[in-house]
Amino acid sequence: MTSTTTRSSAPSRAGADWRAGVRAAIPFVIGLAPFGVTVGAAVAASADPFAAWTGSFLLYGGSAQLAVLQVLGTDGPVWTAILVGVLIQARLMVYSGSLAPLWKGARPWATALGAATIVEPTWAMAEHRLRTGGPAGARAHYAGAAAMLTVGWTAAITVGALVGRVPGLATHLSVAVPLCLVVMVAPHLRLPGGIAAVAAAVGTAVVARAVVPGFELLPAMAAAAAAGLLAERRRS
Amino acid sequence: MSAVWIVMLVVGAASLAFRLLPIVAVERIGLSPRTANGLRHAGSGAVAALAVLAVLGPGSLRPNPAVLVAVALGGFLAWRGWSMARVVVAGGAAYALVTVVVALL
Repeated sequence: MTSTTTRSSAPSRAGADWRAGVRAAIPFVIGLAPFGVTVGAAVAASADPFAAWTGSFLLYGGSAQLAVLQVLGTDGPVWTAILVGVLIQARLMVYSGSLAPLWKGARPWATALGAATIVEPTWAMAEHRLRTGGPAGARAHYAGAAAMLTVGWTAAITVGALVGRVPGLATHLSVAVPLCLVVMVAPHLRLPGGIAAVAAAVGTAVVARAVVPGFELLPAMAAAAAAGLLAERRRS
Repeated sequence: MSAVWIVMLVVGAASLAFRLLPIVAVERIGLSPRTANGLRHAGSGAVAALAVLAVLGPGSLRPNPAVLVAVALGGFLAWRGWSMARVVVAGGAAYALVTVVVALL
């Protein structure tokens, strides 16, 4: 009796976690929609709009997709666009390493599918879920959040690609990008060492923009890790 | 094959490798609490840096005042625990207001 109850309650628990993940992603989808439309406008302006649109899945990162399309749009060389995209996407290694415990013991296809959707919003949601709810059900929660985000993000880019050629629209909508990002980073400020990490990243990014434009992210990440760990050590 | 296809396929393959390889590596060698904390700080640092770069705009060091006001307000509201949708609406309204005021001046 007990085993039957346990067996039947496990899928329902996973379903509840999955639905909770979907609900958690809805504000992100709404907030990121203007950013998606901005990327869609760049897709529409591309020399090969369908190839540019597939970047929504292949790159699964608005910053990188926008940056490579901007380089290609200014007739920049292919290798420059590739280098810019790879440098921006390199940050994903950190998110992926941080979320690795989520897929401990998972089947390879589930790990690959989950890994393919690692990006700032899914990382921020998974981090929050792991911190507040523990590891139980965290994978189902992630799957729900990633599914919702993928549907919403692709829809926003598609809409932007269809209607995005309105003059000035992309410029004004792009204000949503930093707004979404500050919402994602805000919870980290409450963690030990969080303020030091974010302050170091902001300062390093500004200095790197002046000194080595186009290579801001990796130094900012390194500075954030060092400052955060140092602040944690001083505090303890 | 167009240049756009080449870029999407190559950067897409690199992206998948960046996403998958650390998971495989951590599964094999493990993750100490200190390393996990460092990765967490680095991840938030990347998000913060992306926000700053978005405020500055492409290749610039001088932010648009309207964007700056919107993000300052958005940051404050996010700190107070507002949801992403509400922060984007409030920040967008601030951006529109400052843009109109600057245009009128």
